[in-house]
Amino acid sequence: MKALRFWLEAGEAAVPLWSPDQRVARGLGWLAAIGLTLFIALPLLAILLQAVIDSESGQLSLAPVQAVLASPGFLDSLLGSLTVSLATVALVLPTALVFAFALTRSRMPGRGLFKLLALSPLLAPSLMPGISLVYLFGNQGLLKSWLGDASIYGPIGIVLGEAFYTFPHALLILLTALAVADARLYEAAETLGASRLRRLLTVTLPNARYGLISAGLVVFTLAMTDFGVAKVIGGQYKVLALEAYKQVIGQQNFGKGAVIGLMLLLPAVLSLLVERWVAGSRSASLGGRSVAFHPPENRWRDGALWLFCGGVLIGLLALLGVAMAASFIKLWPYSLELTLAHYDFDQMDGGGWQAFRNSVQMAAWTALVGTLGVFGVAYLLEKMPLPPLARQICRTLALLPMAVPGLVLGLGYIFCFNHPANPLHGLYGSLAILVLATVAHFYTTAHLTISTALRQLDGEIEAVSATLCRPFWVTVWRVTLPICLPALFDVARFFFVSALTTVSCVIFLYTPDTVLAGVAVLNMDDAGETAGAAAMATLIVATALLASLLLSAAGSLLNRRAQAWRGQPH
Amino acid sequence: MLLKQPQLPTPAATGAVPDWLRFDRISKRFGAFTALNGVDLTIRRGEFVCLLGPSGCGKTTLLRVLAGLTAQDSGQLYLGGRDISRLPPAARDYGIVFQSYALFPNLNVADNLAYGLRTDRASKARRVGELLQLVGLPGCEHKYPAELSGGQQQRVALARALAQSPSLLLLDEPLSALDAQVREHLRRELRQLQQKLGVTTLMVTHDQDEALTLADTIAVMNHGVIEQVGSPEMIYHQPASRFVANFVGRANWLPVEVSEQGEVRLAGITLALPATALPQGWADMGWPSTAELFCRPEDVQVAPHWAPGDNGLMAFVERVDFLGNVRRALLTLVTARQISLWAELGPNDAGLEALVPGQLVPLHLPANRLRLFAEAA
Ligand SMILES: Nc1ncnc2c1ncn2[C@@H]1O[C@H](COP(=O)(O)OP(=O)(O)OP(=O)(O)O)[C@@H](O)[C@H]1O
Ligand SMILES: [Mg+2]
Repeated sequence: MKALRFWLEAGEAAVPLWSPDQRVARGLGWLAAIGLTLFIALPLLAILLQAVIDSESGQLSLAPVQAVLASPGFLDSLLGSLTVSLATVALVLPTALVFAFALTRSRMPGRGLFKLLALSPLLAPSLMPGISLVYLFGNQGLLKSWLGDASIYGPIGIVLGEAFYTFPHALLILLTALAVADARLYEAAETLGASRLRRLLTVTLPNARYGLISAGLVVFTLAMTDFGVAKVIGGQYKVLALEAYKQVIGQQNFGKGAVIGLMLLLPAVLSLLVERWVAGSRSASLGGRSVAFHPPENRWRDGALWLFCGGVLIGLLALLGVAMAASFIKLWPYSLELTLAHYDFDQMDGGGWQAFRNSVQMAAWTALVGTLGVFGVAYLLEKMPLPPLARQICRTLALLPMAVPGLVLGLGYIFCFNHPANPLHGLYGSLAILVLATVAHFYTTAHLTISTALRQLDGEIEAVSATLCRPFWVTVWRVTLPICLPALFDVARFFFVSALTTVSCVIFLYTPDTVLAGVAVLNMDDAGETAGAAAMATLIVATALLASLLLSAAGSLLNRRAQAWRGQPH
Repeated sequence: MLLKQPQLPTPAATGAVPDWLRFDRISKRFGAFTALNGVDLTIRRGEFVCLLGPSGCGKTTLLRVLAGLTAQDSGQLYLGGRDISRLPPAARDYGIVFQSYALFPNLNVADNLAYGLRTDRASKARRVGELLQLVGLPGCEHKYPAELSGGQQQRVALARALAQSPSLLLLDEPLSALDAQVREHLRRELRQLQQKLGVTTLMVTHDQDEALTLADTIAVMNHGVIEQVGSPEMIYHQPASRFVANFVGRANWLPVEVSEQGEVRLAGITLALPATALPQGWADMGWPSTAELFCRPEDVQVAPHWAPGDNGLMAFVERVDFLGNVRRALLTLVTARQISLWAELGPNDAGLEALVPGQLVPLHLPANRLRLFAEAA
């Protein structure tokens, strides 16, 4: 008891001065810690226990892990996963680097549009490139002859699909890394007479090194843990993520699924550690006083980059567009008549229009609950005197989901909430659990965005309000929320689009009543209804695009209204 | 260093309670670092007190403890006889201006000022008008903070702190973000406003000029301890510690010998010193054999001709710097060339003409401006 009290009060002053509203905040802090524990920590703990508890004896043992490691297909799957993931990194990283370079360091025309198009894969479920690849290079594919004897069903297809899916993630990271280029470094290099190539090698790349490593790790982890692409186009090729999915869905072998899921956690945890290490040793070259870089005119460079980026975009848009186009075509490639028949989902297995309606509903709730929840927790963490233990729990658990693949989190949710002893068992099978799992899955990105926005506010605003006898919620409502609205809109859009496109996290959690659009794509494709799957995927992209546009428009409208006070600082 | 605090000078505001606001052994640690180490301070009602000290000495921390924004580890706070040590900020009856102003950027000036008011719309508007009049910004109600200059933002922050007519005003380096001219102007206005309202004010600053011109009383802080409390005069001319002497203004430090009877000799010449110039306790505890003599450069008197009297010495002029209407000269003593000191002479000083490098000049160290300190460790 004494130890507990010590923990609860460690680091606090001997004289408590909490005002009533601060007591409320501290209570809310505990609530947030409990909430995050329930919906992030416990599921992960559950999957861990599942993996190390022998299902027959109920004893703690490593036997299940050993059994999986020794099972015949395991090594093949592991090698398969590593091969396609590394190949994806090798394909995506240089491409994204050149693309990011073109967007930030050249005067190539149409950069804004190029960037938007390059990020468009974010709007699509990871299954979509697989479907497009089937239409292009599959058995009845238009361009099948391009591949010669090779088959798209296998590593080639997987790598291409994963490349599409991971490209925008890598691009975003590299854009940030390159955007903070320090013009002074360039000028210095130029005055020293460094050649262009040398400038690229000695200034640009070292500065982007951190971004490159981090982008590489993200691509590797995403490719390693995604099973959608492999499911659609992998053929007989074995990868770990798909293996875990099959164990659980096909064979109801939860223990084996848990063990493989944990293996998938390894690369993510590993990359987190590497990132920490790199971030720690990173020099402070990109200080706050860096001067924005304005690249000089250079027609040859810009022309070459334009051609390169155009080529990349054609590839990306083909993988997005072919499925879209095919969804309106009667029987690809034999009967090219236009039709809406594939959108008559109610005539097909997979969930029908109900799946789409569920998805929109789920995405809307995720956006609402996620944005408000993340804001609330981030606000308490940044601005309120939380009890140290509650603060530590919230901090850690807010950053944890980044390292957890959706597949693993989804599995954890089954083990945790399907357990009869769990008082929250009732959530299982509801739309609510899908919302909660999705919020948890995408928590970290949202948390970092909002925390950054909150940190830009003057730290004394809360103190001033307290001295003016106003409780913190008045300040939140009148000052903090209005100032953070742009960030909130960004996060809402992120949640909505992610919830609409995600499959991995919810695949184990839906019921026939709560089937989702992404799942429907998977199921229809599985049932041979490729055109229907393409139609549903198209619908997802269109909805995600529409929601993005609406939220962006609303955001910029608000921004314009706020122009008066955002103003230019003196 | 343990120092006895000198008595407070006579109150500026008559009839004031001598210790209306009292810090009683306030301590605060951040981990292993001691930010406040048993701070005692009393403030009279209506007084303008400046908390002066170098960066990182704990000034802001002390202010935040008083404001209830940081909890002290130990010690008590009393305001008007009431123990406020455990009260939350809202219950302590003060207004505060932060170094960053912390204006609400999305609220216009009127809404900023009315933020803490809980009256009806009309009286809010009236109060906002009054406050803006008070700080000299009438008609600014509908501007946003980003549309105001730094000085104007500072006034808005001040007006907001005064909105609820607090009995205590806390200012954390309110002028440090402004350029020199605006600063000087606002300094004067701040003083006038404070006197007009009679509001007790505690202002944090690391600018000694600001403290010397504004304050009734200065509390000099160092390393989480208050080294001296006193009027600007006292702080300047009778520093209680070597730190205070060095931090406020410029100082000459002259090595002296002390005889067993307590005679102080500088370069062989016995100085006449009043008892107040000697650190307390030396007479009882026994004299050290050497010590250091403190004297402000402007107190060093250079005479055109030798005249007999106490504390007279001869010196060579080594160097003369022209600083506008003041001349600063580096002198070395004739009988001990290794001892040098600075003298600052104004345009009306008789010895000004004699300040020529290489010249031999008589100088005089006024006994009431000298103080003796133990040698630096
Ligand atoms: N919340 C905190 N946690 C840890 N250390 C702190 C904290 N607040 C202040 N300190 C430390 O306490 C010391 C005193 O800080 P304080 O802000 O009171 O200084 P200050 O005298 O106001 O200095 P300045 O003139 O630079 O504003 C500093 O060394 C600071 O690093
Ligand atoms: Mg300070």
